Amino acid sequence: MRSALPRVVLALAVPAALSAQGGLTDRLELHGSLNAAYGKADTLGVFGVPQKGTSDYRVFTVQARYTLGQKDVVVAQVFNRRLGASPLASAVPDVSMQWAFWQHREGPFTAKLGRNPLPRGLYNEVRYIGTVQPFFRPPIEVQQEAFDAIDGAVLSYRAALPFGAELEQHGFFGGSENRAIANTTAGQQIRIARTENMFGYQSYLTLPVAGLRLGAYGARYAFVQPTQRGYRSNLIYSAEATVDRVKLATEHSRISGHGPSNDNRGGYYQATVRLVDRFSVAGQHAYINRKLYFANAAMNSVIPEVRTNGLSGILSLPAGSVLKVEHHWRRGWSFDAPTAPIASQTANSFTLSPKRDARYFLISVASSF
Amino acid sequence: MNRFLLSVCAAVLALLAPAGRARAQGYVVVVNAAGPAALSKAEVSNIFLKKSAKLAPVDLDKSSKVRDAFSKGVHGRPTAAVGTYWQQQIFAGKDVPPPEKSSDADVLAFVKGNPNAIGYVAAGTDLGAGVKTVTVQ
Repeated sequence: MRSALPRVVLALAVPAALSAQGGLTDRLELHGSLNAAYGKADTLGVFGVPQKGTSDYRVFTVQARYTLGQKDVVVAQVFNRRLGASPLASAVPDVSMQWAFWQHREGPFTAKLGRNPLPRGLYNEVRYIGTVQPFFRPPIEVQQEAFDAIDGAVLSYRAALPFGAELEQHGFFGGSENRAIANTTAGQQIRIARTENMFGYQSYLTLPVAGLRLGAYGARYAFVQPTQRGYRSNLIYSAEATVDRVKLATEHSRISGHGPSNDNRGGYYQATVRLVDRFSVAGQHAYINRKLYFANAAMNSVIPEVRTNGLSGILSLPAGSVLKVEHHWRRGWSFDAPTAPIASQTANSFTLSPKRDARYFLISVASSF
Repeated sequence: MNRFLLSVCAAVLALLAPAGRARAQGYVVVVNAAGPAALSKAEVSNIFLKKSAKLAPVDLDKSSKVRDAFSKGVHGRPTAAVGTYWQQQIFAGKDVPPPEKSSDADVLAFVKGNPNAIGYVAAGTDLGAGVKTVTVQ
């Protein structure tokens, strides 16, 4: 009791002192989001969900937003990520600063400087927020373990167009983190890299018909690993629409470049149906096609690396929380466990190793405030 | 038999008819006495979604039936859907929703005290001085 008393006094005195400065509670907003799951796979581990099951699977986000003035805010967002048994778990800090930026708004223009959310496709900026997704996470076949933030600048412009249409445009420059599990002819590789000198553009056109939103993204960047430096180009086309109780979304991405050579295309088709006010179901098909590179370039070939289907049920809980139960079927060569080289070469031909199958389920709770 | 079938059809149609059509609009949009006399529905929607900074919006609490009527009437979406929109805005670091008040009286006090404010209250509420209704076209 004696040792606790000073702390209690301090805890009571600090808010009073801050309030006396005038306006802290008016200027500071706190928001947070929890996305926590239990998952289990039947055979091979997928995205950190192992055969033995895991509950060490969550993202908890806390955002502080301080209003400097009518046109300026400072935003900081910290998150805690746990990836279960994923090989990438050691590459992801337990707690890290996801965003830390200053934002200035001038009419239809907005500038963000610092570590900013990156406008990239439909879900990138909210990829960890379970209350706005039909599944635990957006399709990683497009999102990847990369590009969740950009260290640099994002300049945005929003314009109202005739007939109720709206155009959003974003330009950006800076660097980002990139983590990937790549299956190559040499076997499974964990690639931890920085993308530097990344510049690009994301545009969204929203039409007043079925809430139709079309997006186009393009970026080019240096791909920097500890022992290698190359470059990449990334294109993403996005579309989503809502008709009454049905929401449809689709995205298609291509990442290509050198250092090491890389050319893969990924995408998904997703549908969410609100059956009744508090319950929805969602279905999803996603894919990755990857180009295999050989010493004899004439043998380079594109293979269907991944095909995956998912189903989820989404139940709205009190106070805006949601409970999701989802099941996924995955077929191909991309799993958590180290695998044999995806192809073996003999003379001027190659043989693909057998495809493998896995199923996993996730039950998760998401809540935001 | 035909009368019976007609009665059944009428009953089914009545059940399927959106509640909004069966009742009069349950809200009025209000501005400070110095504010505009008329706004289009699109303008009001953009103001409350903060796509326009023309006026400073104030919402009612999420559980309010008046808010739900306003949301469906102006945004064309229920409160929950607009809530999802704001979650996307917050966690994309873009913006935060308008302030929320727990009663019509609090909304009127906010609008009266801010020349640039816009809000909505239950239809038939006594607005008092300093606040006027705005025609939503």
